[in-house]
Parts: sequence; C-alpha cells; structure tokens
Amino acid sequence: MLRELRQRIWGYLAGMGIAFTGALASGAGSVPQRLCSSACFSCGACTLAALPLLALFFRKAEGRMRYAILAISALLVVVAYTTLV
Amino acid sequence: MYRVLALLLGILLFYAPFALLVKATAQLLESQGLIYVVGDVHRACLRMPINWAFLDPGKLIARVLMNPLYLTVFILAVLSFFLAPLFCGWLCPAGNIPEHLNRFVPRRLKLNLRGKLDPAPIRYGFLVGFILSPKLGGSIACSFCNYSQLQRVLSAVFGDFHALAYWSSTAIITFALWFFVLGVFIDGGRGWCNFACPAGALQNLFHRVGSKLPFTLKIRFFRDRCNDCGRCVDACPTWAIREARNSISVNRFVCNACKDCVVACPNGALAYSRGGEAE
Repeated sequence: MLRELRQRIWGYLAGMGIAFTGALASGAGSVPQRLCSSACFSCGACTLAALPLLALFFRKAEGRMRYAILAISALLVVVAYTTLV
Repeated sequence: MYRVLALLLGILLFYAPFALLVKATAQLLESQGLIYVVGDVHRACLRMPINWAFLDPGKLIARVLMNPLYLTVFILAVLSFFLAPLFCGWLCPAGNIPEHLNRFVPRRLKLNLRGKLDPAPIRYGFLVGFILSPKLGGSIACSFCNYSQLQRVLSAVFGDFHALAYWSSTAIITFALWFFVLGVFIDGGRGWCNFACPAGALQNLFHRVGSKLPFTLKIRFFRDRCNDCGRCVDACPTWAIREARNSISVNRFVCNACKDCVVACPNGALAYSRGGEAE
C-alpha cells in the first residue's frame, strides 16, 4: 500500500517535472538558445525528452533495453546539437 | 479492421487537405458573415483550449466565438463521460497510427513497460504541469503537439512541403519521441498518449467519473467468464488492464475503449456495455 502510494507520488512528480522543465526552458530563453544559436525555439523539448523521461525509463528497463535507451538519448542529443549549431 | 476505418475517418475529419469538419464549420460561419480561415488540424486544437479554460476563461470564450471548433476537446470530454474515450481509441490519427504500425515491429525491439510502470500518475502529473506551464515561463501546448506533427507529415504526403520547412529542433525531437520512442518502439504503441497527451488525460478524467454510474458505457469485466489466460492484458495498447488476484482491473485513467481486449478475450469476459464496472 505504502509502496504503491510512493510510486504514485513519484509518478505525479515525474509528470509535472516533464511539463515544468519544458515550461521553464521555453520561458525567457533557454540555455541552448543563449549559448548556441537563435535557431533554438526554446521549447524545452530536448530537455523534456532527454532527461526526466529517459531517466525514468532507464531505471525501469533491464538488460539490452538499457543500452537502447542510452543510444536513443545520445541520438537525441546529437540531433538537438546539430540542429542548434 | 474497424479501427483502421475509424482512423481513416479521423484523418478525413481533422487533417488537411481533407479536414471535412474544419471545412464544414468554416462554411457554416462564412454563411453567417463571420470571418474564418480554412485551415488544418490546428483549427480544432485540442491543447490550447485546456490552457485557456483553466488560466484565462475569458480568452477561451472570445476564441470560441470566432472558432467554435476550440470547444472540440471539451465536447470530447463530455462524450467520454457517457461513452468512454472513443475518440482516443478509434478516431485520433495521432494516437492510432503509431499504435497500428507498432504491430509490425518485432517484440524484442520494443521497450516493454507494461506492468512495470503505472502510466496514470505520470499522465496526470503532466496534465497539471501542462495547465500551469504558461505561469512558469511558457506554454508547452504547441511545443510538444503530436497532433500537429502528423499534420506536417500528411501535408507533405499530399504535396504541401511547406509544412516540413517548419521542422525545427522542437519538431524533429517531438516527432522522434511521439512516433518512434513512445510510438512504434514501445509496447502497445501508445506511450505518448499514456504520458504526454493532455487531451486524452482530460477525457479519461471524465470517463473515470462517468464509469461509476450504471447508465454509462464502459469496458466491463465478467468474473465468472474469465479463465485467467491474460490475453486481454497483452492486447491492451495503453497498459490499462492489470491482473489482480484471480481477477483483472481496468484502469479508467488510461483505458481508451479501443475494445482490443474485448476482441482478444476468447470467453467474452470483457464487454463494452452499460452497467456496473465488474460483475
């Protein structure tokens, strides 16, 4: 019961974290926009994508899937980087 | 088969170059002398009206007076109260296309979180964050819209390549996440719907309340017909069905009434009908 409640609370926090990270990043100019290029739309999609969700998935995944998630994260970073710069 | 036909109907109703619903509304408004721009799926946006409703109701009213299609998401929510989120399970092309394509991907290539992760808390945490996001820096209504991503693709397929010119880093990453990571390469193909669709979350919230009432339609479970084969659990694209001590439970916060479980059950232990949630 307590374990389920704890998992649920972490779920709510993860969901809100995904949205809030995106919102903060899309505010007064994201870090990549300030540092790299005006091509960045400051939407926070990269942050949203790469950090909380993949971290959550990485924690839940097992075996080879963990490597797949790492590869996807790396791919996203490369796409974001090459699009920005 | 019927779900594929419903998916095609969804494309015809909402997506340019067809967008029959949008065009019909436009004609109706133009006949009354109102200014209206014939557009694409954005005219029936399912995301921004949620933000307006909670943070600026006056803006919502003003926008709806110009374009009644902004009420679509709320009409769908009310329908979900009585009929379950049939739009999500049957009509929504943005959710259905990855799900159907997902069936062709080998199981070993899919990320399987079924039974390991309850999507409902993440989904509703995201909904709260989505609603409050404009107060925290910027709205994420457009940034992470899978609904419009599909419009870009369909526009390009039908010869309008201008839509792809707007593919920024945002769009590329949102597309990759919606279509690949949380779409065709996740078990069930409904990862984006499960985690990051505020329109679906709103509909399921109404469905959750409505499912408690005996006169509403919902997926119902008949214990005496179940032989615990678990096929419904595997068939559910939204991970809504869970086995629980010689029984199953349907999570109303994520069930989209696609009826795949009803079809998968060899004994008719699940049905989409009126009555109590389980018998």
